[in-house]
Amino acid sequence: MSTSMVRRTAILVACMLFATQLRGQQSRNTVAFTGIELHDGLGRVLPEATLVIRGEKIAAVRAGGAQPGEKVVDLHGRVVIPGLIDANSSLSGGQGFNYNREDPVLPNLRVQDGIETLQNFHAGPVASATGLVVAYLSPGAWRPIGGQGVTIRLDGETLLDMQMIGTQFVHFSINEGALFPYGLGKAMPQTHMGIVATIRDELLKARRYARLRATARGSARPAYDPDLETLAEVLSGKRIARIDVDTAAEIERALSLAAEFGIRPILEHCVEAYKVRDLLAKAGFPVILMPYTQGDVYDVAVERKVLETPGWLAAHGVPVAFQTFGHGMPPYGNTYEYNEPQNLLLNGILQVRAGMRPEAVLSSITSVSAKILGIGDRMGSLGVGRSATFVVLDGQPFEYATHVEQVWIDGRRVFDAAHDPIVRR
Amino acid sequence: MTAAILSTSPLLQATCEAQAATDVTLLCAARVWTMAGDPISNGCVQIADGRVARVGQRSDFDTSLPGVVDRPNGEIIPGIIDVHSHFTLRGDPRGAGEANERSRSFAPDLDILDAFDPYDPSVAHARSGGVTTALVTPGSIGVVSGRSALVKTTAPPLSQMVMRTPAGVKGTSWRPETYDVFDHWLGEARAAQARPSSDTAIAIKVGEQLLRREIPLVIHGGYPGGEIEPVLAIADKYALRLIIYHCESCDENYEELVARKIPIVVGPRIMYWNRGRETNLASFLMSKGLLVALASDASSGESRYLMDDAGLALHYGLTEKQALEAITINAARIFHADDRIGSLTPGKDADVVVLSGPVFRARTHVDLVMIGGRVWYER
Repeated sequence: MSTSMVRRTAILVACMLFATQLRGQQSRNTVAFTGIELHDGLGRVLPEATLVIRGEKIAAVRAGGAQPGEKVVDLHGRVVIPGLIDANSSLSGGQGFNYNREDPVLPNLRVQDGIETLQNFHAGPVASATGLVVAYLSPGAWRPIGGQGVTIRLDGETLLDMQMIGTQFVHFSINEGALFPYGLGKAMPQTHMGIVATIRDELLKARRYARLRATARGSARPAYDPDLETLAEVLSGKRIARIDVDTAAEIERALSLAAEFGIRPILEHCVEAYKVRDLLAKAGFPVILMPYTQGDVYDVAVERKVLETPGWLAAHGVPVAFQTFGHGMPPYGNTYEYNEPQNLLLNGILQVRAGMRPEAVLSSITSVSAKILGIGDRMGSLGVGRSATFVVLDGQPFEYATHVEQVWIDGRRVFDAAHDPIVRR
Repeated sequence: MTAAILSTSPLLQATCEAQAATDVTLLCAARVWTMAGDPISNGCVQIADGRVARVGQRSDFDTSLPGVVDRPNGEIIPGIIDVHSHFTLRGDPRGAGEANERSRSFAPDLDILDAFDPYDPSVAHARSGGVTTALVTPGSIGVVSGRSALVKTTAPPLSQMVMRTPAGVKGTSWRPETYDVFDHWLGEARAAQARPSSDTAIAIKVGEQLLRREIPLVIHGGYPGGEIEPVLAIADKYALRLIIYHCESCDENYEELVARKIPIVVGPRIMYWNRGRETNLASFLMSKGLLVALASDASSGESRYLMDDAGLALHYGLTEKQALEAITINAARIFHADDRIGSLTPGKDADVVVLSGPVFRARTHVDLVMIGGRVWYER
């Protein structure tokens, strides 16, 4: 052989060896969880499945076992679901943003500017121990135009680490909570009429503002106004309106406003959804509901209707997500009531009992929530290319006896029941 | 007085009609949790004259007779007892509202039954969740806020519903004047015991009942620090029966409670984050040998969910048996009502709940609720 041929062969062999090394490295990052019952969050259940993750992402979801080159973790007998997502969380101690109640219109009030010491969230051990991986922190529902929340991943040290890029919202409320003696009773709104008029007023101003900013010249062009910019984005659909309503009449008002301004909002809370479920099904707007009645409905017949409504709406094509309503976790709240964020999975039991299909209940705290929050491409379901964010359970999702064994976020295990220093169940 | 108003009530008539339903004399299921010994597999509960007559294996009974409720896949438990409730009282029990006479901090003469509304829908609502007895109580605004009562979740007239009045005296321990108020009051009551008189004020008579240990002092307490120490000192000095509601930080000072064998009613929360650590308060206190019940602290509709609160307690570490005991026999024992309720034992009230499946399972419903031998709820 000539020298150049030897050299070429040597280089070729070296390259092949290098390539083999590379593939070996990739295999080292590839983990296959086998023997699991996999619920993908989109309605599908694979009874004997393997979930393969590579780095931060899901590489494969398959019936059957691992393939050569995959590092095997045998989770025989376990159930795997997507990481849970609370679509409207008070984890940040949401009520705290409502203490200054003087101004009924604050579209640019941002939750992220008001959260203290996110590092002190015991979100890692406590939240993750219950399968909650993402929460939308709401600014509360106590103002006609109430501000913006933020979607966070419950993993990280600072807000920058945790914050997720998703849909941007502006909050509106048409409910008792939005009434307040604004201006010591001398400022709008003091009634529901006032609330809706306030919202309409601001949206009309924003519409005019947007038109003039785009078309007018010189002195006719209004100065930059951050509040109106934000509201104009709601009108254009760049931001989504979240409207908190309780009674059937309030729901109708919200639907009416939406039609008036040509927007597609998300409706929150909707305690009396059962009275207007046909209207909601017709409109098709996503709704974020409580999975149970919080003890505020105490007529047996009415309660049954309230509990059956989420399932009915979901069956009629309305995207239904569930939320919690607690005071939040440490340090903002230190007790675990039924309605706390960490009980999001267990709250589903009441919906299963009311007759909603378990996979639909699961979707309501995973894929539907993710889609509403604009992170459905990454989170909320188990499929190829999605984030490797999932929960390992020792039983069926909606049973009191079931516990979380492991929680993985973006391919990293953030909770392991067997070795956690704080959480002991 | 109340009966006279109610005797011509159409609502009462309608209720009576609803009541005159099936005469059920035998209830059978895959498992009977008697709360008096091990559960019975394939068991039955026989009813007679409003009481439990006999409990045993299915094979010991004739299930072909009329008046049988049979759930071969279900379970039977005793009627659930919610010993911390403000149900039917309008308003916010933690602030304004019928549960708190805010004008006075010292009010032992007040009687919750004068505020309790037997027509309120939350009675039927609680019943539909399996709650057959509730201890309805004033709130926690005053040092002594009034007298509580045990009621069955049946229907008006009030006299039909009341099981025991008074069932206790409600108080709180966190106010600075707590010790002095109790000391003065019970000192007077002790003096009055030596001089019986028909002119004795109600407040003093109630104090005498406490001194005789006929009724317990029920304290809302347990916030961090030595907050319950004043009432412990009072209970020691006057040899009172003391019961504590909530007891949030009682994992700190449990030795004081154990030494005095003080029963605790936790709930609805049992999980706390105390000093950087998760604590299952019920589990902890039970492990120290204390008698612990779980209750709802309902303002209205929460009582119906007490069995789900117990399910949550199960999730966070209680065993099935502990979780069930906490809402049945323990609650009865704490208020000295276990002669009549809390377990399916011959001679006790026929307060029975039939479940469609295994207890604490997601898909299990309350199928039937019997109180005093009559069916009051069917799904």
